[in-house]
Order: sequence, then C-alpha cells, then structure tokens
Amino acid sequence: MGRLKEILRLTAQIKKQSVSMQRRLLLYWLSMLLAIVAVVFLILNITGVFSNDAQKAGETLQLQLDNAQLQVNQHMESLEANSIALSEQISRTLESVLTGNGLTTEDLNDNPELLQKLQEELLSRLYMTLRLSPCSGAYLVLDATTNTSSDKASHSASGLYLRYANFHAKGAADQDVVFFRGIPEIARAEQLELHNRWNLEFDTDLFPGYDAWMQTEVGRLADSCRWTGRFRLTDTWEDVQLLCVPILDPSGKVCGLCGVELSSLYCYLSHPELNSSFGPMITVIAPVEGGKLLLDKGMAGSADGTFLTDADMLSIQHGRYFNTYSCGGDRYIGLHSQTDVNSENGGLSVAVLIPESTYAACRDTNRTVLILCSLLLLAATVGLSVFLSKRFVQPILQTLQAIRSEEVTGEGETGISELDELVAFVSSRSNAKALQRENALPPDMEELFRSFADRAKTLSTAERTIMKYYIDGHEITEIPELAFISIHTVKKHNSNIYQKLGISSRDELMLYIDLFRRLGRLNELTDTL
Amino acid sequence: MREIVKALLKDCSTRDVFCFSIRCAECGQVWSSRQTRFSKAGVHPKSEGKQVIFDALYQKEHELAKNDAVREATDIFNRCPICRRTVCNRCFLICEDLDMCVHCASQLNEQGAPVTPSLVEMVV
Ligand SMILES: [Zn+2]
Ligand SMILES: [Zn+2]
Repeated sequence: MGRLKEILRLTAQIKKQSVSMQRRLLLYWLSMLLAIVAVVFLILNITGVFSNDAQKAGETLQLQLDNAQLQVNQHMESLEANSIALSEQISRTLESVLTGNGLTTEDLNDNPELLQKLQEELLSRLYMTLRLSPCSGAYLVLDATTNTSSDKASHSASGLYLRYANFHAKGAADQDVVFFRGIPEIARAEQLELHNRWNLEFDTDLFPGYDAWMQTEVGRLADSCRWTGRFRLTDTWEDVQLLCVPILDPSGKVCGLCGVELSSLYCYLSHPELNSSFGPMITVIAPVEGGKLLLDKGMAGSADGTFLTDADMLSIQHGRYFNTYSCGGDRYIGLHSQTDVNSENGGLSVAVLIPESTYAACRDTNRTVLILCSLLLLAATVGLSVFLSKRFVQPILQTLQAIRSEEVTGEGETGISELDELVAFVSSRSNAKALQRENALPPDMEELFRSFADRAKTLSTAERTIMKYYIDGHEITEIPELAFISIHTVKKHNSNIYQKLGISSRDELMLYIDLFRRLGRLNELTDTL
Repeated sequence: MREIVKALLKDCSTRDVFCFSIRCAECGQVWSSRQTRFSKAGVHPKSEGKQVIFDALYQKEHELAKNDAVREATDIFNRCPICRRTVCNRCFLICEDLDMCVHCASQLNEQGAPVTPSLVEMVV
C-alpha cells in the first residue's frame, strides 16, 4: 500500500515536470512503430509464415520413424535367425531319420508311420522356437502327404503348426499353445490341445509360389528368407504373415518350409499408438509400390481413434517436412522408409502416420493463439498511440486557446518545456503591457497601497530585517540560518509583523510584496521613512 | 546556525542510545535531544566481521541522530548578536532594533519580550 502511494506520488511528480516536445514525439513515434510491428506480426501469423508446426511435426515423425524402424529391424532379424536355426535343425533330423533307414524324402509320401516318427522328433524343437521367438506361431511343412491318391494330394502337405491360443498381450510366457496342424496322436502324447480349426495337413496354396519354392536351388538360407503377404488363416478370423525359410533335404534340395507366424493382433499389440503433440501416431509395416503404401498387404500397429483400416491403400504425396498419405477422404501425415525385410511383395517399409485432422486442429490452435496475441498487441499499441497523441496535442490546443483568450498565467502547466517557454514569453509580454497600462491605478487601489505602506512604517527595525529576507525571496525555514536565531524567534516576529500590517498570513504578505515589486514601489516598504 | 549548534552539541550517547545536549549559556538549562535507539542495540555480533559492520552502522546512525538533534536544537537556540553566546528561546528577547539575550538587554537597558515566556515548549 505504502509502495503504491509512493509510486503514485512519483508519477504525479513526473507528470508535473516538463518534458521536451522532442522526447514526447519520440515516444509517440516509438508506439507507432510498435503498432506497425504488431500489424506485420499479425499478417505473418495469419499467412502462417511464423508457424513451425510443420517442421516440428516432421521432426516428431522422423524421431518415431527411426525408433520404429530400429524396433522392426531388430524384431525381424531375431525371427529370421531363429527360423534359420530351426531349418538347420530340421535338416539334421531329416538326415538322421532318413539316411539311417536308407530312405529319401520321396519315401515320406504315403508313409504315415515315418511322418509321425519325424513329427515326434521335430515337435519339441518347433515348440522351443515358438517359445523363444517374439512371434505368435511357428510351423514346419514337408513336401509330402499321407495319401497321394486323395484328390487334394496335389496341394496338401504334412507338417506341424503351433500357435498361441488366445493371444492377449506381449510376452508369451503364460500363453497356451495349441496344435493347429499335424498328426493328432503327437498332440495327445504331448498333452497339447487341438485348435478348434485343426487339420491334419497344410494347404500349400497358403504359401504363394509354393511349387516354385520346391524347385529352387538354395545357396545360403539367410538369403532365401521371405515373408508372405498378409492373408486370412483358413477357417479363422485371424490375419497372419508367415516367414518362410526353406528346409533342405540331405541331398541339398528344398523339401519343405519352416518359420514363424506374426498375426495382425501381435503386430497391433507390439506397436501401440503413441500420443504426440499432433495427435495419435500409428506404426505401419507394409510394402510401398507405385507411390502407394499397401496396407492390405502389410500390418498396422494399434490405430484406435483413427479411421485407418487394414484394407486401405494409401497414395503417397511427398512434402517438405513430411508426406501426405490419403485413401478416399482419410488423410494422414507421416514418413516412411524401407527396411531390410523381404516379402513376396518386395521390400517392406515402416511408416509412421498421424491423422491429418488432429494435426490440422493442433496447428490451427497454435496459430489462433499467435493471432490472438498479435491482435492484443496491436490493440494495445493502437490504444497507446491514441492516448499519447491525445496527451501530445491537448496541451498545445489548450495553450493556444489560453493565449487567444489572453488567460495565460505564466505558470508552467502544459507539461511541455517548449510550450512552457512560449507561455512564459507571452505572459511576460502581456505583463509588461499590463504594467505600461497600470500607471494610472484605480483610486481605491492606490489608497490600499498607501495605507499598507504607512502601516509598514510602524514595523520595528528587527521586524523590518525579517521582512527584508522575505522581500529577497527567502523561505521562512532559511531565516534561522541567515539570522542566527531560532525558528520560534522568526515566528514570533512574523506574528508581530502580520498584526502591524493587518494581514493574516505569509501568503498575503507575499502578495503585497509582489504587487509592490511589480509597481516598482518596493522601496516604500523597505525605506524607514 | 546549524554549524554553531553542531559545534556546541555535547554527545551523551551510550552504546545503545544516541543522545545529544546543549546548555544555554545564559540560564544554564541543559536541553537534551530526543533519544533514539541504535538499531542493533542489545544484539551481539556473531562474528568479527559482523562487529565491523555493526561499528560502521553505529557511526552512520550516530551521524543521522546528530543531524536530527541539530535540527531540533535550531528550533530552540539563538545566538546573541552582542555577546555572541548561544542562548535558549527563554533567554532571548525580541527588542525594537535588535534581538538580544537577557543579560545583554539588561546591560544595555533595552526592553524586550522573550521568544518563549514559559517552560512548556521546552524539553529540559
Ligand atoms: Zn536560557
Ligand atoms: Zn548577549
């Protein structure tokens, strides 16, 4: 409270002090300049030049893309390594079972006992692969069938397929494994539950180019790994992608495929959407072909809160900070890049997407805030300009008015030093004129002066000494220093002087002194006789 | 007047209180200034460094108190233009031509009224 008073007092004091016109003009121009800056700022904001949201979004996307790509590459590498190890293990088992009995892979056809013996040997290895790999299933298929005379024999092949029953979260330790394909006696012996869509053998049509696989010459297994596209697992509701690694028989010919399964659900759970400041971020793993991101052949992470479906084909438009992916009315902003993973559709890419609608909403909010800020700034500076110009012009007008009506007081009241000087000049001139005119005072005034001068003659020498100080322009507080007397002594003299002169205050005394001075008759007060 | 009073001012300050006095050359009454306490009165400095600070602070407040005392005293004391002694308002007479002390007035047969007739306004 005290501080506030102090500030008010100071501002009042500053207000009273004259400021030069130049400084006022400077202030005025500065506020004008500020207003212009505010307008430019506003225009830039409206046109979006200032907005770096696009760049920020691009950086956010790039960061997440790098993360996702690293994650996907590591994931795929570990799956490939495990599947290759599985393939090599199967080859060794085949060799020991077949060559031990003097047989070839051809002899597996129509030989249920031999197939069962093989599957018994391979089950534990497949089970281990499933348990140790970050995947949703594992399978092996041999190019042989139990009944070549069946009408399905041409696209039926014996093998094992283990899957997790109801995949519900990442980390498969407590998941139930079910028996999806294979000889049921083995499942019973190992107390594995049969899948409710169990089948004895594989439909080889599931594997695109299965027959071609069986004909190819394979150099290194690592170069032959390939993912299938996404397909619906027969008789189920689940979409999966299979990693295919060829199995080599003792003679080095391809005699089957093995690998792991990734279900859409698994992918969904392992790539949860991320909240960015521009909206939810979705991870997509899919091939890019002909300027389109083929979601129908790939997999997407969790995409809740967006309209992304797994059947979309998103056309890509490249941009400065990010690309735009559109499908029908749905648009996404995002980035994608190629991974090292091979699939039947060529290389797979990882993409990170944000719905354009949430990005646009976020960008608009930011822009609105900036526009509001600059509007406020503009309003404030315009207000300041108006205020300052008023303050600037008003005293000039008032002074002009006063000069015109000859009411100049001569007191520095305009607050502008140049004007004050002008006023002082004008008033001194008008005073001079008044003095010239004065020579003939009105009779009653003359009488008043004479009687005051007469009364002044009754003052004692000591009192006259004190009054002399006043005439010389000294303040009452200065007199003790000059006359070596106490302030009480001065006051005592004062009251005597007032009484003798018939006045009641120092102001009145000063008024008389001033009048006598203006009339050039001061000596009438100071002279003793 | 301030210089005269300042020169005559007797310092009767203690470690905790600042106080100054002047004796009227005529009546001998001793006027004492209003007492002000040292802001750190009764506080023991915790270190030598603080002691140095307190000492400086004491000097400063002492000087301020002295200035106040001078201001107070100049309300009360006058210098007689005849004998040049510094006397209180009670012993200083308002005369026709020249104000002077009671003693000089009686010596020169001058008439006058004392500035302060009673003791009421004076702090004795
Ligand atoms: Zn005395
Ligand atoms: Zn004397």
